[in-house]
Amino acid sequence: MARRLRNALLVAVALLWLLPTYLVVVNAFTAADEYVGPRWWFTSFALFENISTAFATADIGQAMWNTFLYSAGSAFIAVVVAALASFAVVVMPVRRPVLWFWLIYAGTLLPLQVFLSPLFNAYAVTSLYDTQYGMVLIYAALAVPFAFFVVRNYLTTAPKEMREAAQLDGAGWFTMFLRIHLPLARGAMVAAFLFQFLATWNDLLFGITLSTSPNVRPLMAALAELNGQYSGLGPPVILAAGLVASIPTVVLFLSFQRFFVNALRLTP
Amino acid sequence: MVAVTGRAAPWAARTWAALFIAPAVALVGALLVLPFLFTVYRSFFSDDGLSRSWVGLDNYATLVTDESFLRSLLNTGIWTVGTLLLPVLLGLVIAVATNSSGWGRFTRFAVVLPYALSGSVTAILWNFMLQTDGGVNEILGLLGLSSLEQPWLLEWPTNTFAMILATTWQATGANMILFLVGLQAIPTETIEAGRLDGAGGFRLLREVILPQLKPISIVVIGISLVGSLKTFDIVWLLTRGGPGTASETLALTMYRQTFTLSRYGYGAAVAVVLTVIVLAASWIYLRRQLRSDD
Amino acid sequence: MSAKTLPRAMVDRRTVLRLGAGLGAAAVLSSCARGTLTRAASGADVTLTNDNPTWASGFESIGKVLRERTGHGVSVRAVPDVSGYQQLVRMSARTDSTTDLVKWWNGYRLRDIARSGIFADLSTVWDDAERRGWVSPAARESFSHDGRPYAIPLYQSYYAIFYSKPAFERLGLTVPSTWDEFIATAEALRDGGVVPIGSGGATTWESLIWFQQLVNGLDPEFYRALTEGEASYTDDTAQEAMALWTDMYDRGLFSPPDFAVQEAPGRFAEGTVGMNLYGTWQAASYVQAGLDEETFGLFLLPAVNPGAPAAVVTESGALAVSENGHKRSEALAVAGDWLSTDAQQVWVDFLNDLSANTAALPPVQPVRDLARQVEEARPILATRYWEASPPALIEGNVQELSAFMANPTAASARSTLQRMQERADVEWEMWSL
Repeated sequence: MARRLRNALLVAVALLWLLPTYLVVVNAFTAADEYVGPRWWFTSFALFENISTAFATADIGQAMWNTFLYSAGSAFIAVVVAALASFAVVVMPVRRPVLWFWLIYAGTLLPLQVFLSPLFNAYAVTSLYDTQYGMVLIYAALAVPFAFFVVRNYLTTAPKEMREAAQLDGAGWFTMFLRIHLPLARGAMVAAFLFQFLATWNDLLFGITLSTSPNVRPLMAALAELNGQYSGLGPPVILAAGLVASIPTVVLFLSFQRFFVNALRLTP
Repeated sequence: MVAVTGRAAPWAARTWAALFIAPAVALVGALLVLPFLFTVYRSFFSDDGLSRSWVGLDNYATLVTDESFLRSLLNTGIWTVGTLLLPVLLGLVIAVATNSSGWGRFTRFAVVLPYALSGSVTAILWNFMLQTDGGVNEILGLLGLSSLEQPWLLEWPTNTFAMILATTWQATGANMILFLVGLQAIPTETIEAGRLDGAGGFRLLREVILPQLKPISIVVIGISLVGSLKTFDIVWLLTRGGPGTASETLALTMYRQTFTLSRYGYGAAVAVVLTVIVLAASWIYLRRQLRSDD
Repeated sequence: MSAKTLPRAMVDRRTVLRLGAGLGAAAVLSSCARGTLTRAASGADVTLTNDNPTWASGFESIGKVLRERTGHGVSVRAVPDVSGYQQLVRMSARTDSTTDLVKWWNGYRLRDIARSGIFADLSTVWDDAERRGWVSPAARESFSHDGRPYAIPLYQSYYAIFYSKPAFERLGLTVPSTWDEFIATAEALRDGGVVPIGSGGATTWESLIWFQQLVNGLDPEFYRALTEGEASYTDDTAQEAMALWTDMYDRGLFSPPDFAVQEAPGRFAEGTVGMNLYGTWQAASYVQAGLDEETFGLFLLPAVNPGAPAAVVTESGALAVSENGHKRSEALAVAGDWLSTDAQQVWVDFLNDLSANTAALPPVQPVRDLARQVEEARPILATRYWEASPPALIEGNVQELSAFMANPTAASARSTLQRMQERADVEWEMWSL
C-alpha cells in the first residue's frame, strides 16, 4: 500500500515536471507562420522546417562543434586539475590545507559578471581574445573550484587509514594518486565533469564577450542570434533550435544516469 | 590533518604537494582572482569605461543609501532561503525516494531533463507559463481556480516567488544527481547493518542514510548557497529585474550599474559587497564543516 | 587498508583508458583555432560590428554596392545581445580589437561615448551627403556632439500604428483621422471582442513608446524641452499625458503589459489584436511571417490635442567610424558613400524599413504608404525617448514607466513622474560633469 502510494506520488511528480517540457516540444512543432502565442496541442508538424530555418540563419553546426570542444576540453582539464589539488590538500602533507582550499574555492564565490571587463582587456592584450584556446582556458578556470569542492569532499570520506600515508617519494605519491584515490573518487569526478560540461555548454556570457568569429563562437551565442530583439523568427524556431542544442546534454545525462543507478548499492 | 602533522614533512613531499596544487591555483588565480582584484581597485574610482577618476569610498557611501540596492539585498535573501528550501530539499527527497521504485527511473529522467535545457529555451518557456495570458493562468482557469489567476511576473514579491519555482523546476535535477552520487558512496554493509537492527523506512533514512550523506550535503548546500546569492540568469531572462527594479538581485544590480548605466566604479563596488557577502556566508557555513571532517 | 577499498585489477586498465582520453583531449586542444574575424578584414574590405546578427545578409548586399563605388566592401561581425554589445564597443574602443565601422545609437547615446574621442569626426561625410541631397540637414544635430557629427543614420523608422485589416474589416472600421476617432475605434475593437491595442513593456524598453507618443501628441515643444532637461516631469503636460494613459488603461484599451510584440503578426492575421504602436522596422517581421498589405496596414497616430502641430517620433540607428580602427581612411570612404541612393536602395530592400535618404523606398507597401503620409503631413520629427536624454536617465526612467504599466493607476502615475523628475535632477548634473 505504502509502495503503491509512493509510486503514484512519483508518477505525479514526474508528470508535473514534464508538463513545461511538453509545452516546449509542442511549440517547437508549431509552424512559424501559424504561431499566435503558446499552444497546448500539436497542430502542425513543422519541427524540421523550424530547425532548418534556424540552421540557415545561424551557423549552428559549427557552433555546436566549438562548444563540444570547449565543454569536453575544459571539463576534462578542470576535473584532472581539481583531482590533483584535492589529493594534495586531503592526503599530502601540505601546510595550511584550509588556506589552499579557500584560495581555490574563492573562484566560485565571485560573481561571474565581474570578470567580463578586466578579462576582455587582458584577453585583448595577450591575443587570447577570439581564440579557441582562450575559451577553453576561461571555461576550465571557471570549472576548477566546483570540481575541486566536490572531489575534495568526496576524498575526505575515504577511510582514515588510507590517508595515513607513510613518507613517500614523488613516484610513490603519484602511484598512490593514480591507483587508489583516482579510482576512489571516480563518482565525484564523473559528476563534476558532467556538471561542468553542462555549465560550459549553456554559457552565454563569456561566449559573447570573449569571442566574435563564427569559427570560435559557442553554441549559446549562436542561438542568441536567433533570439535577438530584432530577430523576427518567433518562438517556434528558437525552441526547435534550443531542443537540438539540448540533445547532446540530454544524451550525456541519460547515459550517465545509468552509470549512477548501476553503481547504487542501496537497493536491497 | 594528515599523519605527518607535528613533524616537518620532508622537503621532497612538500615540493610534490606544491606541484599537485599549482595548476589549480594558477588557473583560478590568473583568470578569476586577478580580475577580481582589479575590480576591487576599480571600485574606488568613478569610471565610465572610457575614463576614470579617484573617488575613494564614495561609491560605497552611495550604496548604503540607495533604495534599490536595499531592495535587491532583500530579494537576494529571499532567493537564498527559497533555493535552500525547495531545490535542495526536493532533490534529496526525490533522490532517496526514486531509489528502489520501479517508477524511479522515469521520475529521475523527468526531473533531470529540464537541467539540460538551454537558457534561451527556459526563458521562452517560463514567459509562456507566467505571462498574464500564459499557461499557468490558463490551467488555473480550467481547474476553476480563476480567483488565483494573476500577473505572475508583474508584482513584487509574487514575481520573485514565481521565479524561484521556475528555478526549482530546473535545478532540482542537479541536486538530485549529487545526492545520488552520495548514496552511491554508502557501503552496502552499513545499510545491511541498519536493516538487521530492525531499522526501516524513515528510521533507516534518518539514522543511517542521512548521516552518511553529510559530505555530499555539504557540497549541495555550499554550492546552492553560493548559486542563490549570485542569482542572475533566470531573473535577467524573465524580468530583467523589473518592473522597475522590483525583482533585482545583487548580481543584477551590479550588472545594471556596470553595463547598462556604464558606471563601472559603482558596479564594481556592488560586486565587492556581493563577493564579501558570498564569502562570509560560505565561510560561516563551511568553517565548521571543514574542521569536522578531519 | 581494508579489502573493499583496495583497487581492483580493472583499475589499471581504466587508468590507461583515462590517460588515453587525456592524450586525445590534448590532441583536440592543439588543433584549436583562432578567430577568423578578429584582425583587420582581408583585402580592401573594412570591418563592421553591430548588435543584430539578422542584418548580416543586408550588410553584405550594401557592401557589394559600396565595393563597386569605393573599392571597399564590408565584413560583418555581430554581438547578439544589446547590452553585451554596448560593453564590447566600450571595452574594445581602446584596443586593436575594435572594428573599423561601429553601429551605435544617435542622440545622447552617441554623445555619451563620442565625447571620449573614440569615433572619427564625420563633418566632410555629412557636408558631402547634404550637398548631394542624400540626407536632410535637419537630421545632423542628433548625430553630433559639440557641433561635430560623429555618425551617419543607419535607417529611419517612424513610430506609427500597425493595424489588423481583418479585425478592422470584420467590425467595419476605418483608419481614424482624429484622436477622438482613434479612441472610438479602439473602443469598437474592445466591444467587438478584439484586444484593441497590443502594448508590451512591463519588463522591456517598450514602456517608453506610449509615454513619448502621448507627450508628443499633447505638445511636441514640451517633449523637446522635457528631454533636454529644460522642463519638469511634474509639469502639467506630463501629468496630463500620464492621466490620459491611465484613462486608456481604465477603459480597457490595452493588452496586459507583458504582451510580446513577436506575437503581433500572428494575432493580426487571426484578427484577435487590432493595433500596435511600434517602430516601422517591425514591418520586417510581418513580412517574414508572410503578411502583406491585405493583412496589415500602418497609419500615423493623430495628435491628442487638435491644436498641437503634427509630430512623429523617429528612430535612427547610427553608423560611426572608429578612431582607432585598422583602416580608418578606407572606413571613411565607405561611410562617405553609405547614404548614396543606390546603396540605400539595396539596404532598404533588405530591411523593409525607411532610410534617411528619402529617395530609397522599401518594397513593402504599408511602409511606402506611411512614408507618403509623412511626406504629406510634414510633421515635427521627435527623437525617440531612448536617445533623447542622457542614457543613465533614460534607463532608469524607462524602468519607472515599466513599473507604471504593471500598475496603471492615478496614484502610481503621480509617483512615477515624481521619481522620474528626481532622477532627472541627479542625472543631468552627472551628465554635465
